[in-house]
Amino acid sequence: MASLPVVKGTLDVLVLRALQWAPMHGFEITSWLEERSANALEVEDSAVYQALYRMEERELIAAEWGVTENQRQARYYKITPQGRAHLKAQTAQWLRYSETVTTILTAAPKSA
Amino acid sequence: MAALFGDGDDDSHRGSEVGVIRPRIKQFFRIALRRDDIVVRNVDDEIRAHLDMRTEQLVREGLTPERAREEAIRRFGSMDDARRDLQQHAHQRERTMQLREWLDALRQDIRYAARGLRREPLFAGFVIATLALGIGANAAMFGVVDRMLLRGPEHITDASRLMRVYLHERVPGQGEFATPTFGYVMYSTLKNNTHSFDGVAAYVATPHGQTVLGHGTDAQLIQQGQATADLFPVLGVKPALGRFFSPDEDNVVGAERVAVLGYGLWQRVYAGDPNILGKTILLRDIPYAVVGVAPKGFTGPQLNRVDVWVPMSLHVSLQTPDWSHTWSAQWLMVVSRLKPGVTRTQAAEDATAAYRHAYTGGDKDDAGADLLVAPLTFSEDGKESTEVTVSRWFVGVAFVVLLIACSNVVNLLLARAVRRRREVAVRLALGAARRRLVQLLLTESLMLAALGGAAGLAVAWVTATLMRTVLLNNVEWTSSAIDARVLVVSAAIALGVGVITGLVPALRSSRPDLTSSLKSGVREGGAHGTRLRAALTVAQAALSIVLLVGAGLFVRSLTNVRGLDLGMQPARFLVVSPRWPSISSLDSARQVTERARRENVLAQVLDKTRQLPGIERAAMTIGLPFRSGYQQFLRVPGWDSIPKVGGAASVSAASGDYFETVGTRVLNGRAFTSADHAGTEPVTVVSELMAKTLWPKGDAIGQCLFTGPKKDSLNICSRVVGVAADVHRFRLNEKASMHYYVPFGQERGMGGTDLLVRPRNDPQAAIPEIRKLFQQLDPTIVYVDANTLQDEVDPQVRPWRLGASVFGLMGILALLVAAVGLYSVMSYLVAQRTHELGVRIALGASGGNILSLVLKSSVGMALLGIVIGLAMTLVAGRFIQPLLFNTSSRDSSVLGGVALAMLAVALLASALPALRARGTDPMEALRTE
Repeated sequence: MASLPVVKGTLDVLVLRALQWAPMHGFEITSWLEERSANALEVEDSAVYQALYRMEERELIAAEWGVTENQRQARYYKITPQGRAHLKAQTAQWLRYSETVTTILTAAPKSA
Repeated sequence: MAALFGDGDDDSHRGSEVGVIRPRIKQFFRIALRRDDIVVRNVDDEIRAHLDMRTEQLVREGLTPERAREEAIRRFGSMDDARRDLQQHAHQRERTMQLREWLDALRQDIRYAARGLRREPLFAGFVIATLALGIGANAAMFGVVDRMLLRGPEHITDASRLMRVYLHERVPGQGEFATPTFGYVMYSTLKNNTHSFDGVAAYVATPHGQTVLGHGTDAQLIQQGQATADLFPVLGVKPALGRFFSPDEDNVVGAERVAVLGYGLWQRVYAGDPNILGKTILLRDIPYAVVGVAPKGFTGPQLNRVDVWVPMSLHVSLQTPDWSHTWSAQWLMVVSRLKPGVTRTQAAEDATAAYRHAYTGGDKDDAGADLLVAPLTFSEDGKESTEVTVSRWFVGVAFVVLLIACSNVVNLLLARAVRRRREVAVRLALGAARRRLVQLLLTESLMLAALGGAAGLAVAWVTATLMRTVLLNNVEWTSSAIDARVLVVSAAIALGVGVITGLVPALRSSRPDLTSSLKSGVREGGAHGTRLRAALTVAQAALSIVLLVGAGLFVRSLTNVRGLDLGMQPARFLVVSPRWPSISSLDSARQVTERARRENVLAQVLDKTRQLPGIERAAMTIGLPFRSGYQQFLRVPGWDSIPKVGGAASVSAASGDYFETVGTRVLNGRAFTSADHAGTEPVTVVSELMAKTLWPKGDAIGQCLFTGPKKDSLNICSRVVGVAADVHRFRLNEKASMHYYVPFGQERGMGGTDLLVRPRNDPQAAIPEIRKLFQQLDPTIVYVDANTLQDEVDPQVRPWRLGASVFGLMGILALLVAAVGLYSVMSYLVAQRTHELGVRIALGASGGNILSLVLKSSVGMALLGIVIGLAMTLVAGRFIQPLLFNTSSRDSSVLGGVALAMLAVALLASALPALRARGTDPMEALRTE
């Protein structure tokens, strides 16, 4: 199985998407991404953390220390209202983009 | 986030006043360090947790723990890069957060402080008003001093290297003299024969440089600056329009007549016409081509307004034919720019050597004199000018006012802090960090200072505008009373005041003697706080005494100056000077006839003026005091050389009625009459000092003196017929010098006639009639200038007028502030001791007892302040003595009067609190606690 490199900028949206329903810590997010993509995406774990820290600085997400089910200290991330707005806008933009690209790439040659 | 630094303030409650600061600073840095450490540790913890969880997952999937760990690390990617990147983001986030927390706290503090101040409008208003006075006074003084001392005249490049040259003479037995006026020959000597200067220039001092612009009804008197062409490059000034004149235009022979307009005149008269260059203007009916406009506010090396600049030599050529090489005429000021690296002393030695080598004037004292090189702020006698010294003092005065204002505000804030003891204690008890509390209180005082500063700008504007228009109206002020520099200085003062006034009460009131504060009511303010407040009140009283004594001494000086016997009555007579067109373009024969014709017109006007009903007397003179003076060769039988008492003897020519017109008393013998004129027996009237010096036996009348413009012309005996009172020749504070008068018409080698008119009533009212006379007799007259001589004297009174008004105003303000301070302390003391007073009254103390109890402590504070203040004035007196006029800095009536005034104010300020104390209801007082 050849994994796909993540298109620049989309990792942020994916991470936000992961946090849409519930706060998660970093490892949960990587696991979520692997699960949803069926391991098709080629993402280093550190890249996820970099995305998290970047977005925390931009206040798209907020973090606080908590305890996991296994009584381990972990930093839990949750999406902020700005983050939700950003997710919504980016998702719409991505959909339009991919749709357009798909349309172009898959259009049948015009027959006379 | 709270968990990160919530344990902050545990070690700050120890120690003395000084000790409080140190752990505070240490702690501040530790918090900063700790935050950074935590950020790093958090990043590492998070990475470790991730790797652990990933390893567990992989082990669950079947890998050995070692393999799983390796795989987890591999999947994480480049560890070092990631760590660095994450830490960077985390730090950035942390900083933003800190800033936001700080801003939040600040916003809260401001809101809280504003609410607190609104709750106590009287307190807030008084603090703001006090600060406004203190800050405003300083801003205004700065604005004035900035121009007069710091920046000097405008548009001068590197003013600190620009120097004025003085002739400094030491006459044995007579003291030292320094003069800034020279002949052209001094200028050319310094320009050509020295090597210390980057340029030498000369100009004619403006107060005597009036000219007439335009003709007929449009004619107006304007200030004319005459300068050598190199003045502008030496000052480093660039014209606003066109150019300044060139060396070949500053030339007697064949030069075109050119003029450079002052910016103000260009705007005022020509509405800033951009096409003014090349146009012709009339100065004393002579056409000049405008070649340039000086930049706005350019006044040359002095601060007086200049309306038009013309080349110097054109005008000089009218006076005497040998103007360019004679050592006996003096009308120019010389400025020079020091070369880089050359000191004043070196330059002065260089200039002196050049001068002594070139001097051919033949006066023994002048030949041995040396030259001084001193900054522009020095006045005519080569010392720092009185105005400059006075303005230096103003800075001190303004600073004292600021000190008083600050101590008063500290006093009020302390009182307020005591009122809020309980609130502060409750906050501390509830766990508020002490740092936060100090910050809150500081915010409050900074806010007060900012408001005070803003109000202070209004005070500054009013004060500065008043000073400019009333006291310093001869200075050309171009920038607004509040410019950027004044704003910056005011802001800095306000900031400093805010911190200083806030810190003492803040640190004091946040010191947590929790239990006692919580237990006590308003009653116990703490003896220590009261002592501090009393000390501040005493300090205010002492500083006010200093200012008031200063005011008293200056007022005394001003009265002495005004009451000074000048030997004449300058306010009672007019000096009338008709301005004719220049005659320099005529050939010399016609110049002679024209001069004679003009003399004749003057004589006719004199006759006709005497017949006017409103005129008491009229006379003519050459060499009027405060305007011009002549020194001629003098020989007196019995003297090998005439002693120089306060300078060499001077001479003037006076017509009949002269002494009666100017109001100089003839003490002995007779005055001149209309029978003394050219061709009659040569006679003279000598001054009292001259009579006493030369004929000490009192037999001056009938003696001979020989005088004339040349050494070989001393062959005619002028018989002394009278002795007149001594007259101040040029300055209010000059030493009397010898003077003698010759009848008008018998003088030789003197020129420049002034018509003097003594009206019966208001001199100003007589001017139109005199002008009409002139115009009827000679329509070629361009303008008739008429002023009382008092107008020439008045500018010299200015330093004392300035001193009296500024010290007086500030002194009264300081007294007011001190009074309010005393009142507030006394009211507070009374409120604090309500309980005790109640007990006393209950035990049978009379109302009088209570009154005297309160008054005693307030008078005690005032007395202490008076003693300290008087001691300070005795020390400061030595420095202020040179600025006073015939007044001792220990003048007992001033010192005594001020002390009494302060005592009276102290009694007044404590009367109300004392009455309130007497009215204490013992039942009420005892029940409340």
